[in-house]
Amino acid sequence: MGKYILKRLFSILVIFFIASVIIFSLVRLAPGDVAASIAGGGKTTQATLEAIRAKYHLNDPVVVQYGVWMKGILKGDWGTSFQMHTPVLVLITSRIGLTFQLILMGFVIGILVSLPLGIVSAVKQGTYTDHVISVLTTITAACPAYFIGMLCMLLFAYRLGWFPVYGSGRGIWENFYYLFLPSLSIGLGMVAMNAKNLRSAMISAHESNYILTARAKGLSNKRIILYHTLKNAVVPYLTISGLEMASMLGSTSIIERTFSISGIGSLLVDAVAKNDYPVVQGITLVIVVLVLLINLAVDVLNALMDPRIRIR
Amino acid sequence: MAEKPQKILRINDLSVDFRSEDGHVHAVRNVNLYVRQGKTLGIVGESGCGKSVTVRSILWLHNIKETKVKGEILFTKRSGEQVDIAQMSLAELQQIRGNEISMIFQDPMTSLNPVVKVGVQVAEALEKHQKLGRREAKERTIELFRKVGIRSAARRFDQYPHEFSGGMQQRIMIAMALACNPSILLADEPTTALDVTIQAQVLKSIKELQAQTGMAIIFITHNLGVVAHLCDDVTVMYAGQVVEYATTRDLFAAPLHPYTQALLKTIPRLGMEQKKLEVIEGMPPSLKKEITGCAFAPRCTQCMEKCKTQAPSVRISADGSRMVRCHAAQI
Amino acid sequence: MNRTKRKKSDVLRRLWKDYKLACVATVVLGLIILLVILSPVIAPYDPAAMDLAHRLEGSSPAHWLGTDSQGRDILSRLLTGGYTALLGPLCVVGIGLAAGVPLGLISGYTNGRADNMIMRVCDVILSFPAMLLALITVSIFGRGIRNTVVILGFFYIPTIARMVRSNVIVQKEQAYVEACRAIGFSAPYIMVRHILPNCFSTIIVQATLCMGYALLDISAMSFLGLGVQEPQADWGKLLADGKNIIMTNPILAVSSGIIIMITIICINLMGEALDAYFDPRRKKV
Repeated sequence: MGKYILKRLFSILVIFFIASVIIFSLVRLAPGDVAASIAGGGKTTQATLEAIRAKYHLNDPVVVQYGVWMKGILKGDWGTSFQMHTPVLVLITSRIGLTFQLILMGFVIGILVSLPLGIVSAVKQGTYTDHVISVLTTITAACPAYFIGMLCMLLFAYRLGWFPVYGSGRGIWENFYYLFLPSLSIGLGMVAMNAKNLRSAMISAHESNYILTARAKGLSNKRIILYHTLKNAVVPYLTISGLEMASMLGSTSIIERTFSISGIGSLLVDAVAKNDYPVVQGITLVIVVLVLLINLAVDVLNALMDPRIRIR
Repeated sequence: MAEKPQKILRINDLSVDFRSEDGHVHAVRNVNLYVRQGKTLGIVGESGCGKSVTVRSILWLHNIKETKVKGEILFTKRSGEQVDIAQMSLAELQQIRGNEISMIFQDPMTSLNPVVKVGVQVAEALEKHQKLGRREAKERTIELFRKVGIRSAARRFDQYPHEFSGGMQQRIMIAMALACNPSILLADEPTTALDVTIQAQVLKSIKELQAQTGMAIIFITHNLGVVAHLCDDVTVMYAGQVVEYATTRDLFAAPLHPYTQALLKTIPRLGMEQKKLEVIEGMPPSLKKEITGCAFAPRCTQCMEKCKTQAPSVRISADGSRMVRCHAAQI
Repeated sequence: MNRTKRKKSDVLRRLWKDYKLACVATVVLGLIILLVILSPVIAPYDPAAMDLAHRLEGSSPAHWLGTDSQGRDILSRLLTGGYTALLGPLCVVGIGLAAGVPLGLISGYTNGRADNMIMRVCDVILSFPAMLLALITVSIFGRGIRNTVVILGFFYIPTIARMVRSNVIVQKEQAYVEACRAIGFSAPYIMVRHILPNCFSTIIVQATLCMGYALLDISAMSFLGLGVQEPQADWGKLLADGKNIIMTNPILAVSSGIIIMITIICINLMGEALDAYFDPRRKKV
């Protein structure tokens, strides 16, 4: 098992390296003069541009530039935001906690809803309940997360006043209250895919020979479904959940915008709008690492659940 | 003459229909069977003749939505109580399955749950039926593993099915089946998927275990050699019906039904003169339609006119030890 | 002559019997498309026409869905907004198919070093949310609906390539491929003329589902202000506008959200029906 984790860590490092190269080169790919874009596109003198070129080593070979940049990253110097003149790292660390909490809450809600739905619709395959669940998931799948967010905001926050309309509170505990609606919108977005996936995984697991054996042993239906069948169906379910969580990192930008939450998602959108490259680079790097870690966690969990994976 | 052991399982007039896209498949038609305590009954027949379906009915392992079952399945429990499995509730069935009657299946690789430790798969039967605690069940399981011939039993408890060879996997299944000392073991072609040498070992184990526990066995196979080796009595099935029943000795010495006779002729023998193998011409009939007359008539070498129109009735010998369903056979 | 007539209505009747939902979905979607295409004719007002005197009005006989914060008629904007919302996914999926199918074919057929490389790259791209990649790339290359569509299309290529590739790998094992090779057909010929037609069913299903996702993504980009720009209308952008005025006039938000949802539901239902139709386990009569 340990060997498996090490192997995965190694490939993560490789991918991280490749991704960092891409992120680094993205800024250089922007049309126009790099120094000018860094300067912010206002009126600049030749001297300013030269100063910028010296500071960012733009006259050196590309490999050197990358080396300098990478060294800075590892040492903790992630550059400074053009717009806000604050170190990028400071900006990120002050806001990442909120995004973390939002995504975790959304993920938990997603699992809490999709797991029973998937199991029930598999067990009651073909019945009225199954069809109702299928219709619900089709509708939810078609709903943009931000639309759900807005409806929730309209109904639960504005009209009914159960939850705050926007913003975030102070501290983690208060945030559970503030972040409930946004995490609900993000979580429900993942329910459809997951529930459908779990349903078909459970159905196909249930038709296998080992379930026949389990029945022939006289085990209770509860044990057969919740232990023998579920344990087999859970691997594809976890894999999809991991992908969903990764895609949440994408939709978090939108949800944070909708609910005016200052996490790294809304920071990213603002930075993109203002061409604030250091911030964009920094956040992208963070998200890359997060995605890789999520994938690692999913792989490890899968290996725990299905022993056959460990030998691959 | 010694008193024959009691019949602990009797199947009376069993019929099983499957619902399919374009009608019903009459997989099993009016089957009568019994097995005596401590004895081995073999069921032979070609693929699709209904032997698996019949035996699975004993534990009521159908897919209820698609199957219609009629008939009686009378079983005498350890307590002496006689019950009709066909009328039982799910809870009562679950009390019998794996406990009083156990079953092992054809392909051990797919019949074991790949993500659950093999020890747990055996222990859970003990925990459920004999109400043992986790540690006790584990100890008993390790004992069982040793009994069926799995070495390093304690270490093997925590391993997974894919870490075992085919023969070992089948032994695990046997351990699982025997855990609660059932009075009947149902075996659905347990050695078909194994190498010939492993087959012999597994069969030997089964025979030894039977001698130790005194359980009855119903053994499905299409291999007549296995029947000769293992079974006391034999039932021959064709197109969902029982066509002949006899003790193994009587069946091999003097088969009565043309189908049985043809089957025995197809067995190649060492030192045979002829170059070509014997076959039975034709195909078994489709079970979707009603069959008029004898089901075997189109392929029967002794077919008479009335075989095509009149279904043969069952003839039973005086002492009840032989049965045949044929117009031509003489009991 | 009578015989062919009966056949057509029979086919329709069976389609209805087996795929009721999908038939309804197709009709609804067709209606929406029709309305959008006809929008220059049937829209009561010019969608860009501002009427500052009548801002943020609710539903009225003059404006069936009311007006937005700049006095523009919501109904007209909703109708014209469909252009990008419907064409966009088509272009995105088109780009994805144009590059993804050949890549998948080659990758699956060669199965060697090239395949490995391509799949590695695809895996890396796929492990990141498309939304995110699109955001970042748009920041580099500029906003606007054209860039958004191209960039999104680019990021759909790995999904399609992967799916085609796995299909090709299955097909490669079939007997007819071996027969083709024995006759001496060249690899490209086999790939295009023989294997590709067998992949059509999976491609169609996947393409349909991708269109649903593409619509979501395009709307999301417009919602963030990175896709469609003023004064053009787009359902996603309308949703963003609607969000700002949701307290005073929720009609804009709700109506644009609902139309997005209905369109995606129809697309998904059609995709699911196609999937069920092409499923080899389905008994073909």
